[in-house]
Amino acid sequence: MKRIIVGLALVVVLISFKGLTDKYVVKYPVSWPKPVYDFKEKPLSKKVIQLGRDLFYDPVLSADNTISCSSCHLSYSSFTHVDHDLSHGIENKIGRRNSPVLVNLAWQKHFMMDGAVNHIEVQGLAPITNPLEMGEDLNRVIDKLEKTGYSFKFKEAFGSEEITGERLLLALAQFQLTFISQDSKYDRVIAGGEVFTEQENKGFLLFNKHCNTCHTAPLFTNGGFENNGLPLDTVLNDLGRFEITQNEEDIRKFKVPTLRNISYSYPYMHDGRFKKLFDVLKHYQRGMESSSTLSNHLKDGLSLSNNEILDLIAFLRTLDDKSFVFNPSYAFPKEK
Amino acid sequence: MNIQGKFKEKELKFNHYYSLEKDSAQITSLKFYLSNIKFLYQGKVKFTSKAYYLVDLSKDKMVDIEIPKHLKFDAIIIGVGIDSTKSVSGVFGGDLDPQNGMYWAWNSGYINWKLEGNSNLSTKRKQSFIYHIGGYDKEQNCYVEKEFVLKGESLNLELKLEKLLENLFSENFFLMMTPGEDSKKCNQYFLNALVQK
Repeated sequence: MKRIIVGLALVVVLISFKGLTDKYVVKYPVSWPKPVYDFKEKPLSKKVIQLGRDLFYDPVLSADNTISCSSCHLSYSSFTHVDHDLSHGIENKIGRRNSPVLVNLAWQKHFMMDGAVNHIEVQGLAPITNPLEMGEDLNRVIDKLEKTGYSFKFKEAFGSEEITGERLLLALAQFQLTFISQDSKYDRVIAGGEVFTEQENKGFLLFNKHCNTCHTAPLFTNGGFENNGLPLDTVLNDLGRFEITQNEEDIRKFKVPTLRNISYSYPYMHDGRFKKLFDVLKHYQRGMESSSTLSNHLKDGLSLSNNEILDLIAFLRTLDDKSFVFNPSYAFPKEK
Repeated sequence: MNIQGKFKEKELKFNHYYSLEKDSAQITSLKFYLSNIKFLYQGKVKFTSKAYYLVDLSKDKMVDIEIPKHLKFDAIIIGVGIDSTKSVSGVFGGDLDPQNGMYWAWNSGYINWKLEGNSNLSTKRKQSFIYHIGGYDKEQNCYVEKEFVLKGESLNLELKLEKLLENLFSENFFLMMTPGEDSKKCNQYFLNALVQK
């Protein structure tokens, strides 16, 4: 009897130990707000993350097998489509919007520039099925995955070979939830390990005065929707949040993006109209168009001198996180 | 629970033309979600089923709901569609898997019911009518619960399609695929057409 009990105890310990090693814990500074994603309720699994990574880089998700998530979300540019104002999908089709960075997604309530997607676990559906992006059908993707050896990978990740929409989307979400950027110069200054240069410090003070209300530290976004006075591009005719809520108060409002890794994410704004940070700040200095939905925080204009613009840019550069863009676990998975 | 599609008192046949007064219509697709099914006894909720059911009337005639043994009930409340909490809680599998084609990729949320077909009354391409009715956020909310007082041992429901289509066509609604006020109107017609036998 004793032997049986000892044997059982050993088995129990081994099983729970294996469970522990597969769990992936997302680390972030204690001073940060609590993530929106409930990691306690839905812990991440290393195996599911690995599967998500394979899928993220696999163009099989697209109708003509040429476009993967990484086509518009490249890890070396903080997961955005660098140097493209609008992204292009299958068959050289051009999309409507600029690809955003994928950073600290666990803190986001809304996804896409107009907040069309309400949860990271369902976000993958949008580009996969958008005819201008990957142009595929979920069931066809699953069929292709079954034929290209993914059943084994799904078994590794989920315990059985079944490939479902739920599992596919969850794997993509879990991989993206690991994208945590918290090691910029700014973070190190706040933690006490470094100091700003004089110019960066000037920029920091200007930032707190003019920008922090919407681009709130430490995430550098308040997660809300604002109209920042961009004149309407009458060809794209993108009314932003209004297209989802149909609420007139939301006309031309777009999700406030994070400013982290901003040097890597040019061109800027929802349609990539500004190539340089200097252009962005010039817009705020004197380019804003008045309208009924213009942000309350911008209605009085932003008085910035040209020197102040340079100071601000110096500060914004301190939000760049090299360890994030060169993180090997975000990059293209190499075969073992 | 039995659910039957009915067209003018006869069981609904898919891809078959029916006559509506002087005109005709055929149904090619009819699917909907039922959820949060509550069992009541003498006005009090005794049990709530946590399951979500996708009913495809081209193949499903019965919905089996697991309830505790010896549960006494005299009325049932059924949610038509998916409630707002579930709609913002991420991805799910089984009947809720986006593979079922009942989830909007471009504006997160479930399609509560899908009805597609053709009619010579339709002014749209291929004389089609397409209703993908959903929406959960505030004024766009289309999730509604309906109560049925039990008449016998099991609940037998009918979806009176000729009535539903006549109402929809009378408003000139042939294509409805985004949440909003018009979708809510369509949704009300659907609920009105879902009756106990």
